[in-house]
Amino acid sequence: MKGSYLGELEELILLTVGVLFPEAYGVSVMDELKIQAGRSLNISAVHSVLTRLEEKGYLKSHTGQPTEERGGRRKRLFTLTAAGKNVLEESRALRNQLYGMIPKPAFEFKLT
Amino acid sequence: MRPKPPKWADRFLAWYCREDLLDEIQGDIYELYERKAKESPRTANWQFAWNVLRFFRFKNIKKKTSESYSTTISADMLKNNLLVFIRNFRKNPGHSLLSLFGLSIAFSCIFLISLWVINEFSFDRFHKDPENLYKVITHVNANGSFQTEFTAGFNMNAESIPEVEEVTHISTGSRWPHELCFWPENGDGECIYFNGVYASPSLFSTFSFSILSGDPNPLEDVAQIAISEKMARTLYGEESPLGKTIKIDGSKEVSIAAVFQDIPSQSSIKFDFALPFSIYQRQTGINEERLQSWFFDVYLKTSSNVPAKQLSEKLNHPTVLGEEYLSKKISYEAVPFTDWHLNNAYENGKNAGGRIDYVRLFILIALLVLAMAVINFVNLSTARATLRAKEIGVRKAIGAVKNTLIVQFMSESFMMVLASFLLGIAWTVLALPRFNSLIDASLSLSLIGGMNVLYLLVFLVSVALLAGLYPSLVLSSFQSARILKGSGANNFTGSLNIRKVLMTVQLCLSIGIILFSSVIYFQLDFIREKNLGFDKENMIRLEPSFRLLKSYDAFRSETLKSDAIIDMTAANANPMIIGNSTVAVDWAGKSPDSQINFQTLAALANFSELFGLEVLEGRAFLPEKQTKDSLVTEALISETAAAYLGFENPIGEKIRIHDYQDCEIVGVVNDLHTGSLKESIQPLIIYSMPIEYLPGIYIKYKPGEAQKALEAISGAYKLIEPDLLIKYWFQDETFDNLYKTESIASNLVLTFSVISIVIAVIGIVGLATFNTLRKTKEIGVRRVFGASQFESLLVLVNEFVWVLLLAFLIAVPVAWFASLKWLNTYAYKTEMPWASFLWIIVGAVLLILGIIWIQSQKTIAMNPTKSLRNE
Repeated sequence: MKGSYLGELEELILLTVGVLFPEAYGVSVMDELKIQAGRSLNISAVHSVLTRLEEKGYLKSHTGQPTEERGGRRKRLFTLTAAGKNVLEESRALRNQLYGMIPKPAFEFKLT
Repeated sequence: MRPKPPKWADRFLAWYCREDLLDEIQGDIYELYERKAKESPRTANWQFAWNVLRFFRFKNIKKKTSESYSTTISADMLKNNLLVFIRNFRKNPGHSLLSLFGLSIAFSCIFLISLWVINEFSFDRFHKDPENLYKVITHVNANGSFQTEFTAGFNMNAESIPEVEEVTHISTGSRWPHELCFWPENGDGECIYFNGVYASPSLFSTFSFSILSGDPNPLEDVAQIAISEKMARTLYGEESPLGKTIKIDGSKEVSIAAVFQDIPSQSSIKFDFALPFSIYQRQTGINEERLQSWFFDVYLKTSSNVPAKQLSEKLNHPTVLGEEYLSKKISYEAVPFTDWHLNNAYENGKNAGGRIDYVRLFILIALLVLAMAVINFVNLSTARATLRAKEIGVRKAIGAVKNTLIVQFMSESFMMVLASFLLGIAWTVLALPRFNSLIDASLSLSLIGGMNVLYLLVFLVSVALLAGLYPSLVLSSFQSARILKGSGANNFTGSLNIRKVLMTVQLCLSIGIILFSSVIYFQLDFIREKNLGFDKENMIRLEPSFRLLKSYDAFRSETLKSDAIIDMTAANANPMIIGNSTVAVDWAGKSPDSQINFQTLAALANFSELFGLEVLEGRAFLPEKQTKDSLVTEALISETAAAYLGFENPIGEKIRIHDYQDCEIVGVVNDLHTGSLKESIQPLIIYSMPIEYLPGIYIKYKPGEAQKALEAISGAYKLIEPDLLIKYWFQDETFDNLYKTESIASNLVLTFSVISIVIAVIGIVGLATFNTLRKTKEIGVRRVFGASQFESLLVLVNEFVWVLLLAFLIAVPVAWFASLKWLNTYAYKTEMPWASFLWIIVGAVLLILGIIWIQSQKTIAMNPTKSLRNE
């Protein structure tokens, strides 16, 4: 179902936007992903994910102040919405739940 | 100074990017650029450009929808467009009908030609796995030049090639023993001729000629025949003919084993009955050994699609070809059967096209005609724009944007194209029977089916777009303020120039087509008038039965009783199409590796006299043979043959033809054209033979007495063969048949050149009207100042002079070049008809001037105060 499903990259970026609050925009998200997850993405890919998340209603955006290094252009700053917070929590809960259900023996590795 | 990103990339971004996203995207890219530029400006530049490209996504691209106007096309608007279209049509019926007429004629031209082309390309494709069928042809290397025969040896061992599934030998022909007369079961005496083949048992498994009833392998048995549905119906009515016995030549009995479906018209192999080869042997009296050395049509069917080249190589392997042929420098070639119909002309062992040339020519003509009609349409609709300038102005003033107008004019052009498309289909349906008789084919609209319908729709839409695009762009870009101020008509000289260019192209095309068709016409006329070296007028060819040959003298004296008959003679081949030639001619002093092809003709003694041959040396045949030796016969040789033989004095020399017939040369005659005029004259040997060997009687009658002559001939024929239907041909008709493709082509080209004239005239009328309208005031002023009517006409003609001149300058050399190329396919050709070129040009100029004069007559003769007062 389109809309509620969250892809892996989408989830990462959604989390990053939360981390960077209130200074999350294209380049900062890209940099943070590189540092935290070691993922180097093209800026256009980051943009398309950000707009998609906004369309899904997990993010909202406003234009920030123009800065000099951007040639006087404004940033679009992204923040989480309540729906965005919910979807993150849901996915975290799901992961925890699933992780908890893994039987102990599955984690016992022998050196073979 | 701070580094700057590459300008082009930045501009490209600004050009494509949505405005509401631009700031953000550009900002981000700039930020990254600044950062990178501190390390290396070069990589930064690359990165910048790369990022710009990466942002080029559908989502980020500017959409046409601007928020200020609503450009959604509503049903109401389309209704309004339709209404305006109909009103405009009514207001200007002449103009609109011209457009409609021109375009619909072009459409029907295209339909007819594409029907024909589809038909040509569908030949032999109805078989199962048509790409696995091959025809085998033979190349004979004669002194380094190749001669190609479309047959191959019966003894070919193609079965030994593993890929070959089936080998089929077919003996075809247009005369006995292929043309046989059969008696209907309940008929009353008259027999009916059918043409058939003698074939290997594999005939019906190689080809998909479907057997309707009876034995699926009818040719396995030596005394069986398979007949077509049509033949069965003619001979037996509704009754089933299976198992009945039928007599061949009235004597040999075979039983009807199968009835097959009538051969489709798109088949290269056509027959009404099929007999096994054993009957052929009985008919012709040849034994198995000689049959093996004969050549017939040979077809191969392979299990998979083998490249023709590979198959040919295998056919030329000594075990397949045979050592004997190998030493005679004979080689085989496998040709894909589906290509055969269109590519069956060979020149010196190489494929030299064939009908495909005509197919290409007509596709070209169809495209040219279409181009002309579209140009016309564009010209007429932009010219009409002057009359509609006010409408456009008002529309724009009350808020129509460019897009709305484009949609309006596009939909108008769509309606127009659709209307002419439908009208074109109607023309096609009406013209089809006539067209069929013109090109001697049976085309029907049913050929258009399946994917072709889709192509037609695509074609329709693209023509509509092509025809509507330019006018709608021009019309919609009018400046409303200027139009409404009253200077509408004069503000687009730019489009006037384009119209002139289009006009030039159009004139070029039609003049070119007309010139080219005149050359074809003259060449055909040349062929018809060409002295072949013998008479072909007032001559009837008759195919005698065996009994008639035996009682030839009685037949002759009976016929000669009529005073319409001059005399008759007999020969074993028609001198205008001798066809087969032989290298088996021996004479004293012949070089051992000489491979000269001679044509041979056996004839009665009075042949040369009746056919009007000119004896240049020695004498003609005498009624009584002069040589003592009973095995030696007399021969006449043509000039070319004399040159090839190389005797100082050929009279009295001995030659031996076909390895058994000794002849003594008694005279030299003029050269004869014994084949198509596309080929040069071949050496000819005419030898005297008794009547029993000559299955062709030629009867000369007095000019204009054909009817009487025919009556006399059939009367005499009935006396000898009361049961057989007489078969006869007029020699000049046979001759015309030789050039059937050419005369069909010339008919077609002539038709299309007439059509191209019509379309060109329509175009000129349109432009002349428009010009006159545009210059009404100028002419008025000139008239006030005392210009004569003629001088005012010159003002209008002036516009056309350059157009005409340029068109001629381009069209004449191109037409000259094209026709020279076409003429070069003939060994004997007419001179380039410069005089007729001149007449055509003069005629074209007069026609154009006449049209301008008629169109402008009203304006010029009008009282100038009227045109000047009108504001």
